[in-house]
Amino acid sequence: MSITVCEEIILLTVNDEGKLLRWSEELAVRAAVAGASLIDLAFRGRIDNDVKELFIVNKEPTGEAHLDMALKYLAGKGDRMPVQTAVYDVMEVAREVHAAALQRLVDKGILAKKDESFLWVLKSRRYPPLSSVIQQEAKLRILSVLMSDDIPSSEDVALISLAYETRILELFMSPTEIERLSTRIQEVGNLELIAQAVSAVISDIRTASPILFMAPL
Amino acid sequence: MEINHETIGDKLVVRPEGRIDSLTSPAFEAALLPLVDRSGRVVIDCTRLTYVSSAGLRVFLSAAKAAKAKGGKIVLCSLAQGVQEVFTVSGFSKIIDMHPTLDAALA
Repeated sequence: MSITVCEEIILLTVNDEGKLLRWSEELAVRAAVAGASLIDLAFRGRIDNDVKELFIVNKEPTGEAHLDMALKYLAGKGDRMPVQTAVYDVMEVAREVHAAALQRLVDKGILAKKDESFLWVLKSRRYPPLSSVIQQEAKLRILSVLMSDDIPSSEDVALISLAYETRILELFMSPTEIERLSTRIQEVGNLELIAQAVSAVISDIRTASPILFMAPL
Repeated sequence: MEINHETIGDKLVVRPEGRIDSLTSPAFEAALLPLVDRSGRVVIDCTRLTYVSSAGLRVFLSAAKAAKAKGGKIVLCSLAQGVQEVFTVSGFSKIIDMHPTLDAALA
C-alpha cells in the first residue's frame, strides 16, 4: 500500500487509542505536516529546492488530495521563495492538509474514525488504528536506520528528520535513547534541506512563543 | 545533461556535466544507478558539475546506498565551491567521501 511521508508522519502522532495531538499543542504537527507535504511534492517532481530557495517546477496535481491542497496554496504565493517561507506558507493550510490526509488514512482502512460525546454535549473524535502494522513498520524503519550505519533512503531521511525536528520521535523513543543516538539522528536529519528549513521555522516559533510549542502529548 | 564514464584501474569514473535538478535528475539517476550496479566502486568527477539541487542530492543518496549494498562505495571529487557548499550544508559530506582531485579519489 502506498503511503505518503505526510500520512506516515501523521500516523506517528496517533496513539493506541486513536487520540491525536491537541491543536493547542501541535504547532509541531503543523510544521511536520507542512514539511512532509513539501517533501512529498518534491518526491513527485512538483517542487525542487537548494540551500536558499524553493521552486515550483510543475503545478500539475499529483492526484493525492492533501498534497494538491498544499501545492495549490503554495503556487498561489509565487513560483520561487525562500525555503523557510514555503514552510510558513504551507503551515497556513496545515490544518486542512492534516484533515485530508487523516481522511485518506481512514479511506485506506489504516485508521477508523470514531465520534464520541460526553454528557451529550462535548464531542471528541478519535482515529484508532485498525491495524498497527504500518505504524509499527514506520517506527521500526526509523529505529533500524538510527541503530545502524546504513545509508538511509530519501523516504527514511524525510521521516526521521521531520520526526526529530518536531519532537514526534519523543512519542515512541525515550529521552535517554534519543540522547544516546543524537549524533546519528543529527547526521541523518541534516540530509534533508526542507527538514532543515522546518527546524529553522520551529526554532523561530519557539523563540517567539515558547509556550505555544510544548512537547507532544 | 551529459554523463560520460570510463574505467580507471578498478574504479569507474563518472563525469556528469551541467546541472542536476528536478529536470535532469531522472536522467542522471537512470544513467548512474546501472553504472553503480555494474561496479560498486565509483568515483564521480564533479569538475563540470555546476549546480545540484535537493532532487540531485537524492540521486547521490540512492547511488551511495546502492553502492554500499554491493559492498562498494561512491566517492566524489573536484567539486566547485557552490556544489561543495550544498554537500556540506546538507551533511552529505559526512556519508559520502569527497576529495579535492581525481588522483586523490583514485588513490
